[in-house]
Amino acid sequence: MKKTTLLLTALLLLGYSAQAQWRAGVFGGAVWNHYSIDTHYMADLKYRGQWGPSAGIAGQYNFADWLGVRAELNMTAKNYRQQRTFESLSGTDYVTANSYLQLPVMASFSFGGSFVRGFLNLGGYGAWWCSSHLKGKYINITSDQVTDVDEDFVFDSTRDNRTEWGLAGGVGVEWRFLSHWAVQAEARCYYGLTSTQKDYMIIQDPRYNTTIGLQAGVFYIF
Amino acid sequence: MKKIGIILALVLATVGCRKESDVILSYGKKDALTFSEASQSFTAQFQALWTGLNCNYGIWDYEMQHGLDWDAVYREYLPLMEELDQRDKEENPVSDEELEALYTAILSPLHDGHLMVEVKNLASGNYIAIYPADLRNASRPDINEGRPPHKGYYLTPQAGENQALRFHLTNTRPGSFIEGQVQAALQALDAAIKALEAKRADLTDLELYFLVQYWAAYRELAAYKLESMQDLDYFNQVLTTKYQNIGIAFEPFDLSDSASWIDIQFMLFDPGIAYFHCTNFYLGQYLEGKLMASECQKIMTQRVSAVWNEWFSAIQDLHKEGKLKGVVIDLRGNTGGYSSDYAYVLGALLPSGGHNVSSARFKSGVGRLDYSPLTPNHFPTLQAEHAVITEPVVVLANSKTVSMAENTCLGAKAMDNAVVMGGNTWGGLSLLLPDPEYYSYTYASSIGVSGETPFYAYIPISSTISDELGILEGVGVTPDIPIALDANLFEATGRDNQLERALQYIRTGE
Repeated sequence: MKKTTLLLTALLLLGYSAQAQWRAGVFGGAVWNHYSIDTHYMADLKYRGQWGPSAGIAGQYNFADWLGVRAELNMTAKNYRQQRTFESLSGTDYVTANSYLQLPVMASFSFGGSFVRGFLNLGGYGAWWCSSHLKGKYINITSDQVTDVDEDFVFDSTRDNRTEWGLAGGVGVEWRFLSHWAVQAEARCYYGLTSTQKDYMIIQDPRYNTTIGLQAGVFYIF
Repeated sequence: MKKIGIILALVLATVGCRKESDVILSYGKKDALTFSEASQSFTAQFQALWTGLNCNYGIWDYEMQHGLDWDAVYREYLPLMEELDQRDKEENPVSDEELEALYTAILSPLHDGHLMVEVKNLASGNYIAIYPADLRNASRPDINEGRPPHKGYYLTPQAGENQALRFHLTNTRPGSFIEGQVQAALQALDAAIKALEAKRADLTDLELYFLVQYWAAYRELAAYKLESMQDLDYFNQVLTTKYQNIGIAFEPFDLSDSASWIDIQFMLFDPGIAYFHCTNFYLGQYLEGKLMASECQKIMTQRVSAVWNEWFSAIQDLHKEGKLKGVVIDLRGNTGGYSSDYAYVLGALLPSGGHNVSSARFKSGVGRLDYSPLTPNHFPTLQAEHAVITEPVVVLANSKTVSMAENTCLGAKAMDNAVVMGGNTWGGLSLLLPDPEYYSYTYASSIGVSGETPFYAYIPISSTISDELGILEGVGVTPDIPIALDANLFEATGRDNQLERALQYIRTGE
């Protein structure tokens, strides 16, 4: 929480100092999340990436024609699917749909002409794991019954690390179609560096999110 | 370009900051490499057992609620195990008693009612076994109630209105099987001896030979007592054929299914109260004809089926005639068994299609708190066409009502017309699939191989969670109508006050 507060303060200060170089916009897109987890000896348990939505608002302050600082506040899905492939267990197949409130802060490097410019964003992000929902099927092997699963995941404060920090980056292209308006398309990546589980036991078994996606947005340039 | 290069190098360095998982081995089967270190030092043995439990035991959240810090256990006991390894093996070897004391302290806080851990003393080669539930339950004041009192009193007029109108019982243990055959042989011998003795003066040499043989057989069989495994072996290996030449032969008792030995009992009380008792849930083994390999098994199957059918038919017939007042299912002393047996006891009163009794939770990862979504513990009910019993049902339970019997109590609690009566159950409701084949089905189940690997732990594969009561391991199912057994009354008169309370409940509704 302390780190989140610092980031928010930095964003506010950035906003305060933004004047003519300030730009703000909204964006949305689709992201594909890969959950990195060691399944150890469970050979048929597969964690598969899943698509989900991402949307938010962005603000950017340009120090120079080629360099700016960009901050966003977005809701991003970090979904994944758990599947058993062994025949008698194949009834287990469900998606964990996670929503994260993210605050990426990135240096934005841009290059190109006046109307069409390319850009590269590079920085970090902090995120808060807001919610999680399980949907699909699960096999109860003692009853030999496949059950529909459609329930909210119950967070455990001992186990679940709801704060996520990581690297954020993206490359994209901008078209300034009016003097104060521009649209952007960007390929974005969030690379989690903190485990979704807390370090709550001697045995280490961290799990990480890696989220890549495509997003488009429109910006007003002051 | 140089700055961009530095930035990219920093990014790449940061990308490598993710931690790796520790290597977790599969402890499901005996594997030389997996268990090699644990067979050589007390420290490695402890570390492997601690890790196996850490990853495969299913109710760590529940243990945390009870104040257990499993990491602290590791930190506390690792140095003590290291000390054991530093001992002089010749002058001061680790004794079974001190190893048992150490592991008792480590394991006794665990609440799972099925958990059993076997640890090999690497110094003596002996195995010690720790049963945390036994240790916990030993202090229960009602633990000595044990098995239900026998019902002899209720066959006599002394029982008054509680005198049984009908009574059928059987068991599949060797005693009744062997004694029945021996008694029949003695009767046959007695008749043969009397016939020959009657014409003693006119006996031919051959008849005299037979008379001597009959007497020899009679004396030995009359003196035979089945009191030990040696007696059983003697019967199976000697007596079955020893007197074959005089026409006395016995079916040997089939020991291959000793795990399925069961006692069952049906009594009918006035007015229309059907009582059923079984000592475990291996009924299906017999009722489904799974044990028919030997003549002995066929006889046992016939016996069990006959008593169960008496009970089931009585309930169905009385219900259809409108004369059924209620059903008593006595699970006192029932040690559990197969969940499929639900169909033949409580499930025989319920509609076909199964009964959701509670919820199951499986381990979904090696983390202590990695759990699957909850799924229904769906127990089978009788598939054959039958009338659903809507009359009151009482399930009798006590401190030795264990495992599947406790799940049956939960099933009764989930019924509108049933109550659980008696005492708190054992406290071990989670379900097991101890076959190593199932180890990799979930991240929980038994670890190691009993008597072979340096440790073995008998661990449920799922955790049973009552939708209303939560996890009941170490606690058990609390009866709706508590009533303690009056042991003094039973000792003095043979009366079973818990059974009488059940009959009263059905008769009066109170």
